[in-house]
Amino acid sequence: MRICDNGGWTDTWFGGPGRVVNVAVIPGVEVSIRRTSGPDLVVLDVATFGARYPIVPGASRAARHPLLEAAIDALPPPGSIAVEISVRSAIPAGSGTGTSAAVAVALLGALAAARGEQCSRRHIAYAAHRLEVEGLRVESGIQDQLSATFGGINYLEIDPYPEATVEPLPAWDELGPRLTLVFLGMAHDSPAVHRQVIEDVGRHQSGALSQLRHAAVAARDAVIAQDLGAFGRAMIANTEAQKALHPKLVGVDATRVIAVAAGQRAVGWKVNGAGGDGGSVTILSATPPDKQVLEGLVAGLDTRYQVLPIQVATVGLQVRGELGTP
Amino acid sequence: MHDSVTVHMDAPPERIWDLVSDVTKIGRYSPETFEAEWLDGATGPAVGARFRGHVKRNGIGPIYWTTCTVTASVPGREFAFGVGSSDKPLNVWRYELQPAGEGTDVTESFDLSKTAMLRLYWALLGWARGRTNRNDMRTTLERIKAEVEG
Repeated sequence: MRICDNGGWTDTWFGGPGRVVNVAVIPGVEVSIRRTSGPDLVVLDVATFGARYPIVPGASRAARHPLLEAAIDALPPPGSIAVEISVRSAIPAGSGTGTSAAVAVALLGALAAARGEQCSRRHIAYAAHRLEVEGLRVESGIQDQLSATFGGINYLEIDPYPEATVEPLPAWDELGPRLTLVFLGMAHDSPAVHRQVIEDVGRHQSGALSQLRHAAVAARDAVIAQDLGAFGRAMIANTEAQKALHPKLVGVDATRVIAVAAGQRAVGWKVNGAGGDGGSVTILSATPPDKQVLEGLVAGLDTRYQVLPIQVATVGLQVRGELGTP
Repeated sequence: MHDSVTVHMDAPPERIWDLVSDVTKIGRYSPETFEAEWLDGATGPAVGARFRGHVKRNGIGPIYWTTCTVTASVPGREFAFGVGSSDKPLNVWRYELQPAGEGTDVTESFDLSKTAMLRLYWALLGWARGRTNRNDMRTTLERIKAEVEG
């Protein structure tokens, strides 16, 4: 998963040239594939949704989990090897933390390994991007997939979309213990607002996109300088730029949480992902004790809000094991 | 979703055809398929004859059997087979032999079925599979060349 995606929106086909800094965090997504004795060729187990069901790769069906099923259709287990595929995510879908991209990266990474395909992490990131954009016909930037595969803190330059250079930024031990991720209780779901943003950007180059790029560059410089104050200011500037892009990208719940954070003299805050109703907010506190106080206040603010425990992920996609021989 | 490799061999087409159409010899040449056997009582190449190949995918695994059906069998000219179901193969592998000078130009090719599933596969990882197939076809043909010219 990723948070603090300064410069998000500029990593899209309509928002470039792209400049993004993001921070990969754990817990992430875990996919396991194990051989079974059948009779079903593939059993998909998505415990997060209480779903476990057989699928026949490539067969026409009403998809229950379109992203997962499209990945399995595209990279089915070879031959007639029967498998059970289990997908686990500790962070809720729709949290604005790149969950779908992380799921796609993990699942494609696992499926590719199970098929003996030799792919770099970068190739898996782009395969995951194509799965969403070409397979499912959904809008997607490229930053989430790259964050999920590379891990750590990265600065991305995307130009032309979706070609990206990935600059890993130095590890920053002080950052993680000061970050709070608040899930706002419901999946972000603002397709109308997002469509409006795309239309507006298409009509005239929005100054807000420029602000977003500047916020990304400022965040990069702050990470290199290990300057918490500057990083926090870049987060806030990015949130203001999101608002400038469309006021509804910073929703009512996010505004409430940000108000509490500001009252507690937090260093920075950022509505994760594209923004809109629901989703999540990242808050940067000045000190770990400040973070603890803040988390108590946020949890008491609304029963829907959840503080999700996170740590900065030092690694991205990891693949272990093999399917073995029959 | 299609590619081919051509290698010239200093040998007559008939001799080369005997090798490529004898699927039981495939393990001597292919980097991925290390053995194969005729099915349903078939003993040699003929259109409609079925065989199964034992595949070590990408040379690293997993290992699995895959069933194939011969789709073209013209001695000295062409041998082809489809992988998967006989009526809708996922992939067709083909050897075409063309006399050239004192020897033969041998072309090996693959042609993936253009189903939605395989189109998506090709969009995601086609670059990798295409490269593997090109390398493997060249390896296969070079091994055959070494045998017929040896």
